[in-house]
Amino acid sequence: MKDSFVTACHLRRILADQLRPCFVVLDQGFGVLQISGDAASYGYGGLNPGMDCREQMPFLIGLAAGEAIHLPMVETASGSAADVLLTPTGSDQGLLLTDASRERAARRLAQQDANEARLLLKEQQKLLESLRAARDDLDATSQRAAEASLMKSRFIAGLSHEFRTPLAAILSHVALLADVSRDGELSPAESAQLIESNANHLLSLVETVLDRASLDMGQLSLHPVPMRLSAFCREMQVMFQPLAAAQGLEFRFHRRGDLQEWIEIDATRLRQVVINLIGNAIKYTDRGFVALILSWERGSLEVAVSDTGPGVSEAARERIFFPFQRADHAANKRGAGLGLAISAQLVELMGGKLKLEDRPGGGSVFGFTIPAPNIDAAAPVAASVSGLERRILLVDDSDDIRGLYSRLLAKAGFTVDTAADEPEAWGRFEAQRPDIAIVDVYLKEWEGTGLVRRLRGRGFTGGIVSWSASSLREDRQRAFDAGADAFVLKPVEISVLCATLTDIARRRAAAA
Amino acid sequence: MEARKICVLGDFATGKTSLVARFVHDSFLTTYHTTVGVKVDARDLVLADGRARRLAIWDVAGTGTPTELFLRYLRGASGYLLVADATRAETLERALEIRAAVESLLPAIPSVNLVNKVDLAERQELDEVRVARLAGAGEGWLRGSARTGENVERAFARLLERMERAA
Repeated sequence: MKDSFVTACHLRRILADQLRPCFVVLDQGFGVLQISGDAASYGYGGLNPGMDCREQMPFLIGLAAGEAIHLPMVETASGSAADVLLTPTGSDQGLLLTDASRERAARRLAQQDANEARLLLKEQQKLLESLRAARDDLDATSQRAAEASLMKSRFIAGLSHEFRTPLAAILSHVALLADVSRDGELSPAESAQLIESNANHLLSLVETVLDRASLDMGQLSLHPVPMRLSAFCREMQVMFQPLAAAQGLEFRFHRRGDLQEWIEIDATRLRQVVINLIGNAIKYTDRGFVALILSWERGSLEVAVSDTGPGVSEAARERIFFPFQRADHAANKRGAGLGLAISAQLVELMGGKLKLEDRPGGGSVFGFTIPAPNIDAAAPVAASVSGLERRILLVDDSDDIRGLYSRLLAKAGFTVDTAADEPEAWGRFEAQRPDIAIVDVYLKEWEGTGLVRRLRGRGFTGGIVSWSASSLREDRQRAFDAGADAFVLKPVEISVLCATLTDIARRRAAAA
Repeated sequence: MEARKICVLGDFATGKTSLVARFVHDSFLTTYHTTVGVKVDARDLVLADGRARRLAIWDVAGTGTPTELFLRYLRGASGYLLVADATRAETLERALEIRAAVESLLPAIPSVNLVNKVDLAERQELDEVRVARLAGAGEGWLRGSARTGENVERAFARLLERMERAA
């Protein structure tokens, strides 16, 4: 009997150590009536009869008096975990807390591992998705690069054909000219004309490709100069009326609104775009007319080229402004397939947007509006300097270029002296004391811009034109930084060169 | 002072414990410790009309599938805060399942929805458009962060207002 009592006491002690029971008798309002057991180990050592038990045990808030509920693993005030059992006991309630810290610790360990594994899996999935997306992007980029490469290969193949055709014509006519014993159908003058025409076409192709490369590299910049609108209109009419007539087309010109006499604009680039648009319109129109419509209002120049051609299909509209793309009906036409793309980029560079619309009644209208401020003082100043500054020193390492331009400039009324390199240039400079120097950017073994800089360094105050076959912006900038007044691309039309020389003289006169 | 029981519910690791820590202690836990069972904290709030309320906030262990025990923890609750994790879109679906279970098995009580962890900008999976698509355009989901405290106070205050209106 005594042994079993001892055993019972021992077991009770073990149970009490493990479960650390705490029993609280509560009234129906959760007021504490009696406390027994280890309340302190749960952080409720301050609980005393008469207190509202919910003050210290907020997990009792919300529970109705008299209901039985078992809440496992409730964190207590001490941070330990307890299984909570609330049960009615006659007119009172009994609250039993037993320790659940060990069970919670074991379960937390397993749960933490499981949750972290799921979070890790999620992160891995996300990483995989981003890797897949990156791979897809890479594939798409590679495909675009391959398409671009294919397009460029086609372009080069097409361009090779374009180059070969005029070259073959030039060579055959040169052979004809060389054949003194010929009794052919063409006169030497006619052969020379055809050679010139084909050479000009070759030059235009080369310029187009170089422009495209410059635009791609962001190297092309604008150089606004005073431009006489009336002269520009006449130039377009003279240029295109015969071409249109030869194809049985009418070339119309319309002026709308107030066309200012002088405007400031990059005349070279405006001319390039308008020539391209009119040239295209004539190329693709079989009957009817091609019209150029110009209007100027409040500092903006509006240009439209309208035709009665086949129009551009909805599908082709998206792509015709991209390089190497052409309208459906243009496959068998001459050209590099770059004209519209370059025109669109040039118009954008000039502050406008090239747009294509249907012409009511059939055909297309390509148009754009660009800033073009008018300048009233340009005309009288330009007139006042004509005839001044006629002595030119031309420095270029190409014998052909020196020979050609010295003859052309002489024909235009200038006195021209030439030099092939810097030492010779200094000799000619001392002897002639020119008004204007034309200096190549790249001289054999010599830096042309260095010569320009040294000319300025020695006090030369005359006009300096730098020229080069390179259309890179940095070459142009180097020339201006060295002290040049103007930069022109070789080969340059003699009329453009003369206009540049006149413009320099006008500016110098205005500044004096 | 009258007291109300509210529960914070949602999938595991949505930041429920951190939201409670921000609301009760204005602190933030930088490491993740999964909650097992339930942890109950209390905070007193004063209503706009000056009356004070004690909130017993039950931080219930996260679960994707509500069990009988999970629902037992909700007994006596006056409202609940439903939490989703902005960096895991699936937690919004779990939250909606929890709400459906709560609404089907217990009497209707007010709730407030919160998308937590909106401060983790680069890992967002639950922008407003996606929440509207998953939960329905008419659903109101606060966007908040236990880390920055954004909208935490507002979420609990809004829940208390709704509970008072429903009381």
